[in-house]
Amino acid sequence: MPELVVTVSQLNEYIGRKIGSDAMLKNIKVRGEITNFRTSSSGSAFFTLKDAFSSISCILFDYFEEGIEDGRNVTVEANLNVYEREGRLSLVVRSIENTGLGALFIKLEQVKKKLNEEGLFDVSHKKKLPAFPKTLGVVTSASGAAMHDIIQVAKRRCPGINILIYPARVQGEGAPSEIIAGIEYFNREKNADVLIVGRGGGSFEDLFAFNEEAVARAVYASHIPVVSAVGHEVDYTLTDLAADMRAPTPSAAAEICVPEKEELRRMLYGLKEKMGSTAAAYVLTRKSALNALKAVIMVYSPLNRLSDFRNDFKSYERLFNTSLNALLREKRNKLNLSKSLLGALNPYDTLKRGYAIVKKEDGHVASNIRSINAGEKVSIYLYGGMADANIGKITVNGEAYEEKI
Amino acid sequence: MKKKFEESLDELKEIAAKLESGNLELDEAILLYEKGMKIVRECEKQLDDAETSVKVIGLSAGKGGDDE
Repeated sequence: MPELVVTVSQLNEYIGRKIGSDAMLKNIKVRGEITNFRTSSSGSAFFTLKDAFSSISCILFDYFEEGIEDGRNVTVEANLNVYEREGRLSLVVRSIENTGLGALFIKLEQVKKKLNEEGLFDVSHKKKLPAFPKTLGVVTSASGAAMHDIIQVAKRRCPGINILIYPARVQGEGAPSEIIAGIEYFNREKNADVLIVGRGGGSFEDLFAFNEEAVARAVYASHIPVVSAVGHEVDYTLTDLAADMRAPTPSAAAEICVPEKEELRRMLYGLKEKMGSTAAAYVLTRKSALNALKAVIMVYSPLNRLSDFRNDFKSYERLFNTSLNALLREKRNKLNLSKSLLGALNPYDTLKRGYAIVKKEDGHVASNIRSINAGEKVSIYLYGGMADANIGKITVNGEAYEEKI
Repeated sequence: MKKKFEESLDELKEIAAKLESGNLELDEAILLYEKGMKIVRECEKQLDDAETSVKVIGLSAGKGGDDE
């Protein structure tokens, strides 16, 4: 039998025809749990119907039902349609019957309750994030936008930060164990200061790994603070609840984990200023206290007394000088007076007034008539000169002197 | 072993508060201030380090290619 080769279009068209001709698939009732429910502005609703193993896309035109949301168990009446461009199957739903909450949803609620009771979500267990992590550990897909966003934000806020990426699948089989391995790796190596565990947005199923009990437990057990970054809209995953902090997106997680370097700089500068001014105040207050004491001490300084002494001495000196001068003046005046008095007493001065001095031959002045004898040679001093003379007759108060002897 | 940045910050805050309390001896205050400035310089040095490194752990390279 010759090999048949067809194009993709031919294949998809063939599948479409095969399915379209199947009567059962034209009108079929399917039971499952609604997930990833969303509506369009035109009034259509899109969702996935799933059970524990499989899922299928559904489209519901003219959506008007109440109570249709994620986690609901429903039975739909639909026909199976092939979207030929992508070879994709979807159920075009005609009617939808609400049969209650889905099993997966209920199971998740049960686990959540159990972990909550165990204290996995306790605020008291939440670790404080480091102020300045040197290394940021990231557990996420190596190919997703999440990793890229985290690196961009971390680099922008804090140039110089080290980022260690532990690549892990974040959805599908094996994702939980890889995420757990990542968290355990960082805890074992102790090579990160804070961890971001997460992925970009996704549907309820896409986030399934982050709702795994084991993942939540690994996050709880981490000694390194964990920030969850599971991008999604409504409910928190178990990972979010067990994490030390929850961020709505990977970028937000990076912002929470990585401080702005400039802010740290400002903080440091503020502390530096505060220390500087308070330390300076110590010196200043003591300096002014010292100056005040110094002023007091100076008043009592012996040096002051010395200068007092010096001043005293100076005034004494002045006083002494003035008194000495006065004394000298007085003495001089007295001397002058004496001199003039002396002048007046100068015997030779009397000669001017017509008196004479008689001196004996031995030079003595004959001051008494009894000191001379008749016939004795004497000198007579008159103003302007002297004359030699012989004593004639002597009369003592009218009596002859010689008679008395 | 280098101190963690937040430990240093806490220590600085403590030093600033002690200094602010004003009831230290002058030489104590000066020693404390010098200690604080030393920590500040260490912290600034840490901040000045601007070489960002991004490393993907090789152990599980090739995995995790199915996000979004």
